[in-house]
Amino acid sequence: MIFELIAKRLYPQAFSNNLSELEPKHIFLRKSINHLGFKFGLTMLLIIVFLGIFGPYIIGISPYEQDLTKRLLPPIWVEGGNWEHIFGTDGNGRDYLARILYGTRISLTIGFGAAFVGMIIGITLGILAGYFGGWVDQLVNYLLTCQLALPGLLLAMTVVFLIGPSITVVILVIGVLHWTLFLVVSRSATQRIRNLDYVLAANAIGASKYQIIFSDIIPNILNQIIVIFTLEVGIAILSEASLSFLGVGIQPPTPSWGLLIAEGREALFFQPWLIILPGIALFLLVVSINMLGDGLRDITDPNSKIEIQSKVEMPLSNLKKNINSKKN
Amino acid sequence: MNNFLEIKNLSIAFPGNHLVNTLNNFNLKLEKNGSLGIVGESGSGKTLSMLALTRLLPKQAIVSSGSIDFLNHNLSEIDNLNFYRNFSGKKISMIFQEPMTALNPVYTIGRQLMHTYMYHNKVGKKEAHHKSLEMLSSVKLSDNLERMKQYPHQLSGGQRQRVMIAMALINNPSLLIADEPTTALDVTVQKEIINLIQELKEKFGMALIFISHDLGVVSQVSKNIIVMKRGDIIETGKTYNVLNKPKKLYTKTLISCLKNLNTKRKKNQRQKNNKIIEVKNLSKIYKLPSKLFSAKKIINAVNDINFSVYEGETLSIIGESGSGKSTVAKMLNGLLTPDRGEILISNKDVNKLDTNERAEMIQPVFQDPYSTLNPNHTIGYIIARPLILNKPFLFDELRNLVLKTMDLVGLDKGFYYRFPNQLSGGQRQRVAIARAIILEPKILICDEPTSSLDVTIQEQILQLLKNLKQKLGITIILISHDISVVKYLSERILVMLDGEIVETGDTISTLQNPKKEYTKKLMSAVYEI
Amino acid sequence: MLRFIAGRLIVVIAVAITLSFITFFLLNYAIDPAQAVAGEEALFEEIEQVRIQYGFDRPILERYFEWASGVMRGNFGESYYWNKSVYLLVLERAPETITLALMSVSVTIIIAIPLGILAALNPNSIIDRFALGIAVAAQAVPNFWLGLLMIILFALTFPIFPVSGDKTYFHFVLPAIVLGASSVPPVMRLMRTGLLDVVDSDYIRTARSNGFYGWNLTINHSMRNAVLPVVSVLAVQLGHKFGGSVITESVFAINGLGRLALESILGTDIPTVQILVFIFAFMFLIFNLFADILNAYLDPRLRK
Repeated sequence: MIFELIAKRLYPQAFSNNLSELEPKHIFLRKSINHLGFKFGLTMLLIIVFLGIFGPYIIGISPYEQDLTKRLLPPIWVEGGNWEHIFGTDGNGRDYLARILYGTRISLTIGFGAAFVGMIIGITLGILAGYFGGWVDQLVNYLLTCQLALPGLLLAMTVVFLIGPSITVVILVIGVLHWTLFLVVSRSATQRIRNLDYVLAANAIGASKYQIIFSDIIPNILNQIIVIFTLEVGIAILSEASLSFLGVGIQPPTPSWGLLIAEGREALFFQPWLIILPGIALFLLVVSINMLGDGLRDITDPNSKIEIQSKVEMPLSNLKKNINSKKN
Repeated sequence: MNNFLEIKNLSIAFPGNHLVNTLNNFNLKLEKNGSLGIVGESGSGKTLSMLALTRLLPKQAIVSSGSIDFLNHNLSEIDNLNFYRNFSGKKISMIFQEPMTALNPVYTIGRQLMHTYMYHNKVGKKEAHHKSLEMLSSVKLSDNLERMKQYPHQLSGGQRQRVMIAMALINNPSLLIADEPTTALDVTVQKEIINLIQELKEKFGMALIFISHDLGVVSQVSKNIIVMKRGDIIETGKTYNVLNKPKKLYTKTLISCLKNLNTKRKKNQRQKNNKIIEVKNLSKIYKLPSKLFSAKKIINAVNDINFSVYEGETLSIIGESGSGKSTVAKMLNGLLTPDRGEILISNKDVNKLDTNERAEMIQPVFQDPYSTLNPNHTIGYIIARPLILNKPFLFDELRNLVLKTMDLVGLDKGFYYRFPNQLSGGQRQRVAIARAIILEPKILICDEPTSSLDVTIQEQILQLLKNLKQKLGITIILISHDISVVKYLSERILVMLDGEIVETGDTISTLQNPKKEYTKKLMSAVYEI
Repeated sequence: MLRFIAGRLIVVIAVAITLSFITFFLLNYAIDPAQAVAGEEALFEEIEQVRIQYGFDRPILERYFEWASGVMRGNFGESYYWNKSVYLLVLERAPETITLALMSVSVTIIIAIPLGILAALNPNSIIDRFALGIAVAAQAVPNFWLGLLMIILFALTFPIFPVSGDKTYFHFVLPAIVLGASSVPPVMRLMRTGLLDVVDSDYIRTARSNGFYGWNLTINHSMRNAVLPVVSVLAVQLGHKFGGSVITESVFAINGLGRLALESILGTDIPTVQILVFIFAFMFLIFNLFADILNAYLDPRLRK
């Protein structure tokens, strides 16, 4: 495989058969090149990111350019399609491929942006609660209960709609509503590490609280945080799509995938590709991110073995069947 | 086929890059009502061989060769179903190391005992209840009726192990396998459980296989012995012969390690030096987090204790878990603040020292070699960090100092850029010691520094501490539950029980003629060869 | 046990009050309520008149207490948009949403629990991979899109179930599947890892050493331990079903609380939105309380 070749070229020492000689990053490398789901997710995500950034330039058609004489053209594989508009056109005669490619940017921006906002809130509270304990922990716990009880989607809809929808508002609102997982994970990891001997030793050699937090705690919970981050990116992308689908998120004519599906709903039975195509895009993006996250979780799990491929392999064949059945 | 139990050429492997036998050509013979001890360090395969017998091997394990004959059955001809129905728990029973987790937490003791009895015998609930009560009294648990209704978390470790034994024996098996049954228990409880096992062995007329890392315990319990190392049988024979005339080098080292630890040093050159630590009326109270509507639970972890430490000596604090010895260690280090009393180091209050000053005065070494080093730092950085934090302007000197200290604790230069996961347990403990001594502190507090290590490694680390003390003139405070470690290293001891000091004095004379009941009990729990 | 429940109940009440407070402030500051009532094109004078007429000129704390005491007496206020008492609106729409939520959780349980158990009992087998494949797919599929696909599929190709409306229980089958599918991944994964942990535990080793095997081992010795975390997560999922009904109800044209919420937001009908947010949060808290009590019943370590 190409992964293995690149890895072997960059880090030949990671392929030593004496496992006790491997450094942490080499162990990561060894585990990841044996993890099918991780490799699949990473490759697909890289392709999607590439298409999102360069795709609009490659096809060179504006996603906003209307041509009312060419409304609702079918895509190339349906009878009557032509190469000028590979995915056909929408109800206003705009090129559908251009709109879907452009939508990639919106989903990625909002997904990563909102997950980042959530991460900052979640791990700040989590580390404070886990490290200091006591009343800080109880306060954070109360906040957590409140946040969990709030109906997230409904509140996001209301706030975004009332403040006035824009990409920034959507990022902030989704981010502010999605920090609980970060909090729970970073808090329990911090609680565990705080009582480990190396933190006590750092204390005894004269390290301050902040040195301990930044040098001993954060680097050691980072693995778990990255896993949560990828999963939250997926959740945030789906939330944005839902908001836009309901008409309270990104507003037309900006081509958000959720909005494309909502617009395609009018022609549900006659031009089904209008909803099927952006839906597949959304599904593929979230699947690749989730597989990346699941893969990272297996790889960074200290109990997982290096030689044996991985505990949970992604059933690729199943997935492909799934995707195919939805196309038809 | 007239043996009670015979295992021939048993080999077990785990899949990996290259197939290496984790257990290699294991042979065993045992007659009816016989007793056998299997001794070895962790990873020696001692438990694995017995798991193969009871068919509890991990799923990945592959039995690559061997045959087992038991009670005139060739076990390899018996299918799993038949084995579970007619052998597991009925003819062969097993008890395990961790009584804390070996019982199901969500069911009562009574249900677990009764189920085990009813499963193998076609009897009603009433009879099963009766039998369970009877078993509980034969393992000497009081308030049987009450116990039946209790859940495992309501019992102490020793009580749970008794329940485990009752459950193992309820179907009257002909073979009992005990896998480190006392390792997780307190020293004084250990003795009671071992006596109980021996007594029940005679009463029920069973054969016993006793697995342990502790040669002393095994020699007490069993007539025959198997010594194992890395999957191979090193030596086997009558216990007395093996102990007194060991043939193999490994067995000799093992015995000499134990004997070294147990040698009675005759003289105690005791110069009265200056007091370096003075502890006055020290108390620490733990408050358990209060649940709504219930009063806070208060535990006196350390209750008004006084002692002093003299410069250059080694003082041991011994006691069982919960005696408060680790709390004292943490307070000496300034990692916990006392609720009452004070700790003076060179006449300065520990809690009023600033962190740098304290770091140069007193340093800790902890028990668990796997959590004592930050997995993200290189060994070089871990050892250098105290210098970086406390003496920021060393530059080139830093590296030399680190290498010098590594040399001092017997670590190869090559480890400088390694990460903790690349080191063995003993090497990690050396790193922890290097980190502690690089600031040249006056006092080293070692909290069970060797109790997670194998016997042979244990001796090396203790030897290292002894050498460092001679070379650097450092004062050592040793916290331990292990009498032989204490004897080996320290001049003075301090016995703690429930947060109070029971007895204190010169190591040799105190251990030979203990004055207090509790110290006597502690001493009687030690098995010597 | 009673003390345990009482303690939990106090937390529930405290959280409910905090949340009502937060939503009230949020909604009354995010938008000018007077303008919302008067409409987009209203003149300045009209808005001011509404402000005085409806009492929006009074301090916000005073209005909050009035609203809160009203809610406690079952008076949820008047909807400006529907021109109706909010209480009646909620009462009218609630049965649909409750039916949907219960049916969708049943769908989750029917799919996730057996699949999780089978996957855990045969790790790395075909069924395990199949289950994980379903989990990954269900986690990534957008709810509303799945609904639309179902409509296309069942309206044209297999017209077994009705695809729109809420007249009979059959109308709820497809929405329940769509809404239930989103909860399958977490519940199934937890069932699987929970049971795997139990199978690896020391007490199962003890049971096996005593001769227990097969389904006897699973049902009599493992199930109760493995199901403990699942109970909590099911309660959380049931709580989320109410908030999640917004999308499903709008896709399948069900006249429930979710759709009411969407329409009220689009019509800036603050009293209705406010009460719905509060009701959904309160439902969540109540389900969690039940889960805690059930957990304490099943796990003796939590009782005391």
